[in-house]
Amino acid sequence: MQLSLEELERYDRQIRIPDFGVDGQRKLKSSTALVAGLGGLGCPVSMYLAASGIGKLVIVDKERVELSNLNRQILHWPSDIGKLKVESVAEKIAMLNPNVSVEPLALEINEDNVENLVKRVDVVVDGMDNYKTRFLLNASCVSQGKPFVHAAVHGLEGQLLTVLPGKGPCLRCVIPSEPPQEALVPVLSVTPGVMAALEVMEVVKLIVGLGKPCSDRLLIFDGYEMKFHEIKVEPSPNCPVCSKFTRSKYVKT
Amino acid sequence: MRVKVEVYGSLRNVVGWKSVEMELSEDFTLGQLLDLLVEQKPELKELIFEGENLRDYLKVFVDGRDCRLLGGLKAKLKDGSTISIFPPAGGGLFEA
Repeated sequence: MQLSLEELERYDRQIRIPDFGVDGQRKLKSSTALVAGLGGLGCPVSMYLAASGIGKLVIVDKERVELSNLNRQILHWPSDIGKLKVESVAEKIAMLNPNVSVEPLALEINEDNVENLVKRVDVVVDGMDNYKTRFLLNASCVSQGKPFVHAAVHGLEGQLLTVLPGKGPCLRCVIPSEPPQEALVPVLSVTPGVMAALEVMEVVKLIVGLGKPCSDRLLIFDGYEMKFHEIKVEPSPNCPVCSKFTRSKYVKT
Repeated sequence: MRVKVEVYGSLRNVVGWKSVEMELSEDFTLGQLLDLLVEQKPELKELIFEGENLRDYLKVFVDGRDCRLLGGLKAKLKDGSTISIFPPAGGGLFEA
């Protein structure tokens, strides 16, 4: 995958990172990420992935922009109210980085379409607001051997887990059953920004092959105390999703 | 003995505090402590327990270690212990 002179200059500061280099940038350019949900997490995830120079973003959300989204869903602006979220995000990404190709899909992720959505991407990023869909994405990523970067927020708190099928626990090992859904989750503007930035850090590391992923710990962010807690997590032998897949099946080449 | 209990996320709205210090008799277990909390806030019962067991999506730490590695509800507490209770973020535990 060739990089233009414009791209070499645009990404100069990250290309200078040891172990990243032009090769890392090429890997990003040849990768496709699914951003599932374009709310508080999905907006900054899309922005940072686009700014980083990912090749393609498949963005999925069925909803339209509402006024009460604007405190945290920072790619949606007042003039976007009423517009489909995928349109609003696609427009902004085109302005931010025209090198990135964007496939906007205004649909609800469900049992019927999740396999196809996951099949066409290299990595899936969680921007959902409910565990039902998170569990669908998790199961599909596990069965297809694709990394799933999970985050969720509440108030001034958040959590992060990178699921590497066959190499570590999946989301269902850590959260075995669906927690009851809160109708309107309280969220401070910046909490999803913090967690989205961590998600993109994980995605870029996975694609470029840098560092160590957060795949053996549930990372919990406590904005009240400005602390991170870590819970060691392991694959559950009884996990209904991943226990039937053997480790050897997903040796990444 | 004296222990500190911290709750996170939507549980804070239920109990009305972020952390409390509790004076307990010696040899208290985590399960007995949670029973005591439920006694004070009966709404907690359904949020913390599923039958006799801890809800599987709830993460409970004793001094920074997952209680499931310490014997679960049978985990022994000691003077100065901190017990932290985390519901999963973004799911919430009750209808707002």
